Amino acid sequence: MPAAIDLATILKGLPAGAWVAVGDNKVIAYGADMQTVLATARQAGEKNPLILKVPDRQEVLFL
Amino acid sequence: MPKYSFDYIGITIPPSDPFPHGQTVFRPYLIANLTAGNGKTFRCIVWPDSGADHCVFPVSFAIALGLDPLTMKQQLTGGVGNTGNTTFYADLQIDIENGPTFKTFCGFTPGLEAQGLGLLGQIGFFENFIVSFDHRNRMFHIE
Repeated sequence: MPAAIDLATILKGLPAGAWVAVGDNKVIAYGADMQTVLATARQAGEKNPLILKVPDRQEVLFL
Repeated sequence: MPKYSFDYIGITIPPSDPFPHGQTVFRPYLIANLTAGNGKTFRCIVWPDSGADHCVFPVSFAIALGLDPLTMKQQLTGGVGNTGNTTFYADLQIDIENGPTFKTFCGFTPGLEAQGLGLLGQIGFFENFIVSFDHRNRMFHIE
């Protein structure tokens, strides 16, 4: 099974801290407010976009 | 019981004082569809985390699912670097893409807003599935 998503490619060039809506492995919308990004993607015809966030900075995590 | 296999995802971390050449870390990210009791769905990245007692998500995901934190049961939770996060709870169905589906009582916390992803924890996930990590081969398995 391949990796669930190619994050490096999808998130390349997007601003740090942005919420991102993805459909068919393409960015449909992004912005600072998640609800707005989700609504924009749905208005663009993507009923169930993948929502994720560009890290403020890539860092080692201990959750 | 079916066995689902997934590749780790490599994340590049820029150079820092202890790691001047940067690092690549490998994380077992999955994609999941969350479904609330009202039928609304939300698609997000989830991360199996045996250090999490429950399955938890950013509180903004609750809003997107049409849930109202003001009416949800809540408790304080903590993690590395933070404590006392108000966490709101609701029942969810979690469908892992190309993997299993399960239902559990999940938390929604502002403590995960910076990461923007969910954690699959002991209650609901690890208690129901055998999860094995073959980091050497950059694969993990759920059965």
